[in-house]
Amino acid sequence: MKLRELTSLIFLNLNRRKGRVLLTAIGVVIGTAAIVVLVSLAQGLQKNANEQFGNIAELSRVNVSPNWERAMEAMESGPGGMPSGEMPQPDPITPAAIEAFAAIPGVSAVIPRASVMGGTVMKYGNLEAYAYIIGVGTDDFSILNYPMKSGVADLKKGELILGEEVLKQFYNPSMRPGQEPPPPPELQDQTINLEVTKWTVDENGNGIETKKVLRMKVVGIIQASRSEADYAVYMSLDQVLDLNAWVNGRRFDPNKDGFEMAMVIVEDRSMALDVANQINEMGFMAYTPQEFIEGVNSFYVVLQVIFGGVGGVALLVAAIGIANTMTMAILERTREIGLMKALGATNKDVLSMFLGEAAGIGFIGGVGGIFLSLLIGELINIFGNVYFSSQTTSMYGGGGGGISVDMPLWLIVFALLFSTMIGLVSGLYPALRAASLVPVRALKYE
Amino acid sequence: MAFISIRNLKKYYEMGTVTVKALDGVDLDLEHRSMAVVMGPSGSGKSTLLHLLGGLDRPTAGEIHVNGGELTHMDENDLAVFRRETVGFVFQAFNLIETLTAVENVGLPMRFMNIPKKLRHEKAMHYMEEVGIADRADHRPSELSGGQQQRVAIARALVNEPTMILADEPTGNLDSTSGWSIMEILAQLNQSGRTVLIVTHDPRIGQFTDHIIHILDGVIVPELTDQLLEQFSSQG
Ligand SMILES: Nc1ncnc2c1ncn2[C@@H]1O[C@H](COP(=O)(O)OP(=O)(O)OP(=O)(O)O)[C@@H](O)[C@H]1O
Ligand SMILES: [Mg+2]
Repeated sequence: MKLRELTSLIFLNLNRRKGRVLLTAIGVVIGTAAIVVLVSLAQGLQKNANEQFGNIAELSRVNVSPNWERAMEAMESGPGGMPSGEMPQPDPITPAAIEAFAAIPGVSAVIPRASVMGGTVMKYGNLEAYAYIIGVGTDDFSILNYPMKSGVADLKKGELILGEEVLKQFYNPSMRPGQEPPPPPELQDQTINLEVTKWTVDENGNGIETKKVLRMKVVGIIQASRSEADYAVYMSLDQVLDLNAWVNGRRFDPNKDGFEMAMVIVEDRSMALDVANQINEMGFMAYTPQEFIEGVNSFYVVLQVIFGGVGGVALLVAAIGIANTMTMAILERTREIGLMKALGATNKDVLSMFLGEAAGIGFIGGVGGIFLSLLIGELINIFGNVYFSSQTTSMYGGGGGGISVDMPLWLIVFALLFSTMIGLVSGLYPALRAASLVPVRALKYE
Repeated sequence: MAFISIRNLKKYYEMGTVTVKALDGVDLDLEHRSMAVVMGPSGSGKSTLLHLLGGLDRPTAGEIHVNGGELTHMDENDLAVFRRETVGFVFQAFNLIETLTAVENVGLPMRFMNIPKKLRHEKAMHYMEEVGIADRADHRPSELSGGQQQRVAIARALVNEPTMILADEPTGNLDSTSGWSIMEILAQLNQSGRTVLIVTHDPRIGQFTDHIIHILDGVIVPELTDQLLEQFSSQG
């Protein structure tokens, strides 16, 4: 029989037993819907979680610091050769080390960074705010890939780039209680005072506080992206090192002291873990958010497998249902099979006919299951969001993501193929039995 | 060789320790375009003979030649093709599919021959006209009388243009009037060139043919004498 004739015959057979077919298909509908909804729920949760990780730029970054942990261990387990009283020192991040990092395949830039070792406060008019200063060893701030809200991604001595949230930190220290707090200042292209404080001790043991004020121009504001940059004040590394020299009373020697930290930027976030591992092997401490994300992602993969498994059990039950229906159909239609054979149907015709019917039931169930899961997904998205955002906004004070169902096309295609396959497999044995019936005995069957 | 040539045909059923010899060495020749009647008491092996000849079952031993082909040498697939192209079956119980209309029932065998829908309908209607049931084309079997159902079944047996019609008690479920008209139709089919073999108890068939095959206890006998029948019933 040609495929066209076969499908029309299968269609005819399914059509003339609608009730039975639909009842059997319900099992598949539920199984498919269970798989699709649960897997897409896991997908949606994962996607939400990934969005919470914030700035994507930071995902393609490896932060390197000297390995203090290793240095401590070396002291504890060392052969006693360590001079007493002296602190163990880890390998410093020297310019040579930075060159070594830059040579690792996949690394596009290495930027040393440092923080100011004294107290730092920004003052603008009657407002002030604490400054979390990061000195970055590059003029071209755009290497760090932060989205700019205003200004330029270009940093020279005497200039600052601020995270958006920093503006909200400004407050009026002379404000009376109950007074309305001032709105965040517009600082783009404004000049502000940066007050640096150092504490020293005189020969009598009295603490002395010394202040130094720098005039700094705000050249750019970084858009808030739930990253470290949101609350940071960026400055040129040279200026930070000069300040530290003033605070410590001695000049900084990069080859001996090493940089406080280095930001290694990789071409693709998928390489971040690998680069981090290589840097760790070089004896430094490398950390990438990718590590955390991968841990979380593997959790969601496990979740998907578990959810899919639950749906799979439902489908298995459905498969048994199909097998049962097909077996019953063959008993009921034994005479009909005998007749078809008497009329010239080959074993293969009968086999394909029954397999096709079983696959058809699976397919119908799959289609129903997808419609059902689209419906359920829609409901979860509506009600889930209402419920969860009321729960999360209070905690994070912002659009807290909530819960959503993400139903990718591949899942729908897979569900259809899978449910059809379930039908085929469960129809296999009954169909083989039908095909191998001896026509005369089938005709005599009561 | 004759169109149909059966040699030393045997069909045994093993029933536990007993062996039922449904056919026990049948020899039979039938010419092309001939019409023959198989007669014999119940359980004598008439249906068995028809089933073997139509390729619905396999014999225990012997040869069945039809139109130059040897059935016992055919595999399952060849046998299906043989049934499809050479044989038209008519059953006592009609065997129509209840959920299909008359014309769909008649068209069913053509589905296995990849005949397109339009031609299928045309041919089905043609043969339904030939047996005088075309006006009931869209009725379901339950809406037809026994005689009408048997006409539909005969039209179905004809659509693949078989050379041989095998009818097993086609009038057995019918009253004598409808039975008579079915016999007329079968005789008509023979007139138009088909080989027809009928199993029946109805003696009126003698009006249409004098080729009667008497079968008793699995063997062909020249004539069913009272003496033979008595012997048979005392055995059975
Ligand atoms: N599948 C079977 N298993 C065992 N014995 C069978 C089987 N089919 C037929 N027989 C036996 O074979 C013998 C011949 O059966 P068959 O059906 O050919 O008789 P028949 O001449 O057609 O009788 P009837 O006029 O009653 O239809 C009978 O004794 C029957 O019991
Ligand atoms: Mg019989």
